[in-house]
Amino acid sequence: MISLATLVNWSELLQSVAAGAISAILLTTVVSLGIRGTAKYVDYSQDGRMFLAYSSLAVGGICFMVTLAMIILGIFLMVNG
Amino acid sequence: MDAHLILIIVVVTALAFDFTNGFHDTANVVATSISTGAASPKVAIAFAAVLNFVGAFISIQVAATIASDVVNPEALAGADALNVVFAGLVGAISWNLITWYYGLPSSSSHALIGGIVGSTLAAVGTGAIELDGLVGKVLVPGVIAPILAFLVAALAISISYRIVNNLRPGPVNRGYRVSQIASGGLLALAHGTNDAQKTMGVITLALIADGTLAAGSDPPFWVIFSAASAIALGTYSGGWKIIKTTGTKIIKMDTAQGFASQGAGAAVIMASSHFGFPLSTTHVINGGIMGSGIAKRLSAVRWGVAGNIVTAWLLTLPAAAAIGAAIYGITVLAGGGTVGPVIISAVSVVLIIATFIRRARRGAPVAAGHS
Repeated sequence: MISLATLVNWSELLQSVAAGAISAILLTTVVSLGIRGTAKYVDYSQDGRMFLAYSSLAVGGICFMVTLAMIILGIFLMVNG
Repeated sequence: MDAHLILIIVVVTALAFDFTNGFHDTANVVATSISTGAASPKVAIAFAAVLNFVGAFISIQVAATIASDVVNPEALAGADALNVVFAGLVGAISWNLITWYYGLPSSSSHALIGGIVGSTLAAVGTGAIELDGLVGKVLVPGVIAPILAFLVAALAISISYRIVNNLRPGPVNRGYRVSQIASGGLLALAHGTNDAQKTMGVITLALIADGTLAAGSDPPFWVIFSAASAIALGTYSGGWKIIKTTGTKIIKMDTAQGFASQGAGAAVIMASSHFGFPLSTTHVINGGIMGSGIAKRLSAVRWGVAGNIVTAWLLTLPAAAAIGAAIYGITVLAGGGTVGPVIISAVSVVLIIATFIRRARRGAPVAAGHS
């Protein structure tokens, strides 16, 4: 009797599910934080609060770099098996 | 000479399928970018075509699954092997064109696998079907992936809304609009990675069944290059009617939802490609779109249209399998050899041209957001 449990490689499937879910949530969170940082930069700079403005801009920049690094890492992992 | 001619017909048919796959799936890749205004239709489609091409070179795990884990190429060898692959491809192309004609974003991948399984069953019975590969690598991941994309997109958009809550909408929308260029690019790359490999896998299956390649071989470079080119050309040619269905009829999206659905779809497809699961990119992307819609409000999703799409999904495997089996039957009635494939190819070309003319007479499809 063939069962579903024996036909499916659950370890690979769970790894795939975890990798897809974690990377999508991380990517969206980091990008949203970056957008928040740049939006706050506009607000603070219009109010003349330059320290807070530049701090927010730095958060936006760091999030942008982290996003880029995540994309490059993902493609690198795929290319190298 | 006969064997070589059939092999050429199979390769050309596989590349034609790849073209229709790109043509059919353009909507999945670019609809969200277009419907939220992140990119113009022309730019989005050209960008997607280039990244489809690049994506095809990233990995060969899915090609390996199609070439040896769905049907056993050695069991096919000798039993009109090339005619079996040819019939499966015609079954998939036929179903792709039928669903394109009616504007339903069904799965090209399931059409391909259904077509190949149907023609194999008709030719050699269940003995050549790799049940563990079909169930474990195609059917189960095929069910899980769109549900995962749905849940991940719903969670991602909820987190995004919390993070940008209370901010002025102008800068936020601009930010997500720019981010959608990246997420749309990733989705196109993921689509090329998973879908172009299916054609590579089918051509490799034909080359193994024909004895040109040894069992377990990877696809040669010319196969990878030609499959990448065919899907990129198909994507560039676009499928405007399906863009309209996917981009505006399932939900009305804002830029954050577009970004979340594309990000979720790209991540799920790329992770699955890495493990060799030949997913339906259509299922995954539509799952992501619905997930990002339901997180805002239940009524944002137009469930009637979504229901029609699910119906098309359910029909795809059996319908493509039935057409594949019927086409194989015709090649047998034609006496095997090259006669059947040559006649079917000629009739198919005439039918495809007639379909395009009829479609054009019904009026040029309209891009999303422009209707």
